[in-house]
Amino acid sequence: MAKTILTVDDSVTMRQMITFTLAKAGYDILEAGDGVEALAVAAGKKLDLVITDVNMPNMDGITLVQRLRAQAGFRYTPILVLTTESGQDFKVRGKEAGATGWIVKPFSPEKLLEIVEKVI
Amino acid sequence: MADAMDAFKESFLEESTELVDGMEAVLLKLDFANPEVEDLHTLFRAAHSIKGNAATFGFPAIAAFTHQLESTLEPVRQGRLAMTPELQEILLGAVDVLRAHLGQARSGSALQPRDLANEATTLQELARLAQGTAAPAARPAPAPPPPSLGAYQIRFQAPLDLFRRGINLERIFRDLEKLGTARFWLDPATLPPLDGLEPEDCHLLWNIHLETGAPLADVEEVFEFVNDGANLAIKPLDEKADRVPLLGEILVGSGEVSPHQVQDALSRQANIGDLLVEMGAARPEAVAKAVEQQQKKRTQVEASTLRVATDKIDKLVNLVGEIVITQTMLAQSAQEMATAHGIARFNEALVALERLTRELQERVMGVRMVPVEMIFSRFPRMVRELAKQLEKDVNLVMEGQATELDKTFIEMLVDPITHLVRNGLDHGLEPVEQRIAAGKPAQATLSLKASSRGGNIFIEIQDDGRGLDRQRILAKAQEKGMVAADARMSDEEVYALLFEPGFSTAAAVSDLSGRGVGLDVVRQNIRALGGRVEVESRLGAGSTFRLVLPLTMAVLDGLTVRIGTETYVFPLSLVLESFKPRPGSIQSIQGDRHVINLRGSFMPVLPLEAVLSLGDRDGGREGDDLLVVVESDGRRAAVRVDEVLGQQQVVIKSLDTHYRKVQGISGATILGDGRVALILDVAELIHLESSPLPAPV
Repeated sequence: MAKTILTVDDSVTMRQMITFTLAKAGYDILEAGDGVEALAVAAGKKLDLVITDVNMPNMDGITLVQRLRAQAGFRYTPILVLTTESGQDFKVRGKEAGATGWIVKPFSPEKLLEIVEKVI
Repeated sequence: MADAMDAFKESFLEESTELVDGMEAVLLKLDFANPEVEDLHTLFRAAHSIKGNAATFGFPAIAAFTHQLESTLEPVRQGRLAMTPELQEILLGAVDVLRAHLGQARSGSALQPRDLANEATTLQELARLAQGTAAPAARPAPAPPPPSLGAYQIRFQAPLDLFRRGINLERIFRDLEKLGTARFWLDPATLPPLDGLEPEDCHLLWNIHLETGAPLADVEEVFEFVNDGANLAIKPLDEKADRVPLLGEILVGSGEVSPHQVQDALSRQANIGDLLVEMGAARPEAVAKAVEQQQKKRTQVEASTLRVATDKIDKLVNLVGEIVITQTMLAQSAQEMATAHGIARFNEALVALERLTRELQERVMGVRMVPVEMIFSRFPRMVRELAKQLEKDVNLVMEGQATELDKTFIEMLVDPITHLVRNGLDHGLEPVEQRIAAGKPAQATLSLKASSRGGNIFIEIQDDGRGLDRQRILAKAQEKGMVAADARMSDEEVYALLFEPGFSTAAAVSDLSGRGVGLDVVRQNIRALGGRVEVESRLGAGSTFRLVLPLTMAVLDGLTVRIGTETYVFPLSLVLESFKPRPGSIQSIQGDRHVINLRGSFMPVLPLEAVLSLGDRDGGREGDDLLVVVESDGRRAAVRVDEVLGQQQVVIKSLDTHYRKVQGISGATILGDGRVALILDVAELIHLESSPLPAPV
């Protein structure tokens, strides 16, 4: 069965790019525009990976990681955080929150696939 | 993947434009004393989002600019830097710079010198304000060690929280094996005694021997997510090189250049046009022409795309599914037609199909609908600047931004609305002293309202200024010989004069009540959309210009009539009434021209067959005539027809594209029985028939 990935980003373009790239590689993709939406989308589902942006309205990515980790169903789910090059502190904060790893913006579709394949 | 990236670029440009518009809207409504925290976050997020996307989708200049913007907005949203009018001005400048960038990115050309200068100034200002507020700068990353090839000895202590972060060790090891041959030994030295073991902690220490031709950086990358600097030691074992490294790899490895610079250099290589010119293989003019051609195509492609909310598409997909089912029902029932049951089912399915078809049509048209916000959003800025320039105090009120209209309208509406707004500000609104003298509030109000009623969209541009001066307009028109000296005209007819070509020039208008500069163009544009302009005004109290537009250009509510053997369609919105004239009520003036007196007001009677050079009507006997009264721009006319067939919605087909432009005809449609009917252009018909309106006889 295809693996399911939830991508969380408030930028439609970024989400489209991620979805397009991963769907082409055979993954099932769910999308959410911010942390709150992501929690709603994730509820009750079995996810193989979550990819989340950091800066988003309503609930940021770091909080989302914490909230997901607090739920039994997502304790061991790989979660990747999208960060910008200036986001060294986000890497640390992401790690502390329980993120599996990070994808540094800018990234190419090829790079994205490479990192995703690294964790699932 | 390259094509897909191009598509994302388009999407990036559109999304960034929206974000920039959003920034501008937030900036314009700022309350400095008490700024909304969420607004400050929105500003930051917009800059941040554009920056990340710009870098990903290949716009380094935009990424660099938004980087500085973000750096200034970061302390603002954290409350370490105050949002002041000065900063607002600079940020609005930044919005302009971004717009210029996006526009240029779209066309693929370089930024204008003026924009570059603006960008430089804005960057300086942003940097100046951000200075002193910056968080301590991150230490520059230490230069990476030179690449090493051959075999590695790796010692890796897994982080304690490895499991809790959802990291899969197996994956890491598998990635290592992808690089070459790896052997693993688990070192039990770090395992705690069993009674002290926390099962969710990871205590594993690994020794790994890896034989690979990959550079050190690749090996380190495998451990990217688990390497916090202290728990990983990678020792190159020998230096034998069995692979020629890329030039870029060596330079990056030695710290000479950054990976970004390599990427940059690689992207520059791709400029095939320059290379060809350099080689002497192509003339620069030819390359320039080709680039221009490419850009033109790109602009066309860009202008013809539309981003649509997914739920609109979902509904369409569902509907089409239902129609397919209904169609199957119809086919089945047709087979069972012999039975009474079959006929009942057939009729049921027909009713359902009719409902679904109508809904599908509405929804499909809905896909092309976008909120009027797309037009309105540019006005706060424009009004603000124009008011400043004219030294007027203007409060802009906007309503109904969510009203949706056909996307194809947007482009053609921007100019007319801009025109009317400018006119309102410039000429409609009095200077502050005059307002106070007239007992009005010093702050003038200009409103932009959009609404939809029935099958129409209304866009109103309203000011509370001096209003239109009927007498002066009339005097002007008489002076120009457009109206007879003794003409008796309704207010609408007088105001309609403003839209006549040549009614006024800029110089003439500034001493009139101030409307009219190029208003004929406004009316032309609106008519081209199948709409009309209405004017209401009260001297001293202000004016309202109302654009009345059809919901979409594709479909029209029409009144179908028969003239001779042909069927014609009047746009229903322009039809006032139809009636059978009393014998003798049509009077002849100036030879073959006719007028009718309807409840005390005279209007011309248009013999359509003559105006359009058609064949004869039924005998043409006066007693059999029916008159359809139509109105456009405050002028009425009665059109002779043989029979009124009824009202129906028609799908408009352009004659210009299928045949050619025909005077008095705005398009064609295909009727239910498959025949073609022409749609009458009422405004043009009235215009064709009449020069100055006849004075009452």
